[in-house]
Amino acid sequence: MTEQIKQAFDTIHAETALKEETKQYLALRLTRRQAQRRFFRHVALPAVCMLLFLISLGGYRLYFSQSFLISIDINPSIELRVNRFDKVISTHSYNEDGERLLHTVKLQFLDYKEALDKLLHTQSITSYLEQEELLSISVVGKNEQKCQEMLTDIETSLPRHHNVCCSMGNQEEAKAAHNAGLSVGKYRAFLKLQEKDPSITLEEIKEMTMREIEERLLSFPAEEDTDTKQHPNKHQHQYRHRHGAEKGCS
Amino acid sequence: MRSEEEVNRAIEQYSDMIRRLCMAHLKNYHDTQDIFQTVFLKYVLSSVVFESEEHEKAWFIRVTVNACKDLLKSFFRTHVVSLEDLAELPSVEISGSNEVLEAVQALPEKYKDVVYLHFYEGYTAPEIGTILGKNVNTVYTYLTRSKKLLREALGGDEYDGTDKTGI
Repeated sequence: MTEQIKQAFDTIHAETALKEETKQYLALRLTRRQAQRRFFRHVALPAVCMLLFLISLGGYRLYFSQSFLISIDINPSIELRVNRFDKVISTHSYNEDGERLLHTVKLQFLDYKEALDKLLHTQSITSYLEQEELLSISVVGKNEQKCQEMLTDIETSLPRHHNVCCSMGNQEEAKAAHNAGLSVGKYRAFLKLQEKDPSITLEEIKEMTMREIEERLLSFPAEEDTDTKQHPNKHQHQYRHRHGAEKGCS
Repeated sequence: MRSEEEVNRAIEQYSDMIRRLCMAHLKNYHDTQDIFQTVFLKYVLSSVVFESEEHEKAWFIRVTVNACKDLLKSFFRTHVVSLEDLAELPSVEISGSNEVLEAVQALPEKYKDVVYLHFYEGYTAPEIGTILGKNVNTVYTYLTRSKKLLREALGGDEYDGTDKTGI
């Protein structure tokens, strides 16, 4: 049987046409494959890389663009720059105390509430509060509604303390404050004091604690009504949120 | 990816074997064409390093058998018949009248490879088991049954010789 089967299969051969067609098919497929690879290597891959780069760049810029600013002043005068995701993207100090404080605590990439909590529990801030110094927290941002929400959140999360006051500033104030080399909170206190005492200078303010500024303000007779009438729009963005005592934000 | 020379050499070397395997399973030229293209494209793109010629030959057998099985199993093939194929259906692919090949083609699918590999290529049952990934005893069973079927189909004592494996 083996011989018969062998002989039968021996009559079967691959036709020349079949071999040639296979060779042509392979040549065509390989040419197409090479073209696809060339396209992938020279067009698709760079395009995908560029797209990924642009997405990463967009994401980076989105994450690291500042949406809000939180100014914390007691004597350390510092600012937290916060992005749209409520994360601290950078910190900035406006005096030596502030610089020293920022060296002891890492706040970047923390949620602003967490960062504030961490700050307020540092030895530097707690010792100032124990000495009855005044802590001012100001929030600045384009979105007033969001600023208001942040302010409310900060107020509710803060330990109840009569020496803490929160307020909301505006973009122009922030710009002017930075040009003057001051944090927003301190600059606002400076403006307030300057209204009462035009002789006050930026250099003097820089050296003063918030409590000292407050005491200087209180040393002048109250002119609240006339001041408000004369400049009805001057502090339209400045809201006061006091904890406890009447004396508070400058 | 393999060079053009390598591919041409393989086509010359293994085309007849692949053609015979296709003949056992398939009934028309277009399917054989498909198998040739599938098998050799796989070879071109494969990065398998063959230790010997035997290894390479076994690879071609395995790939061809699997390609034939896939083609026979494919939904399109089992459900659709083209008009062209319909016209070809009555004709048997085998050139000339060869009752032995017709008998092999008439065997159940699972016996065909075993018959070809044993009776034509001269592989032993354990070798066939290794190549096709089947149990040796299964291969022995297939060989015994297929031999019986062939004897019945071809009839008479003319084909009743014993082969050297004693199956």
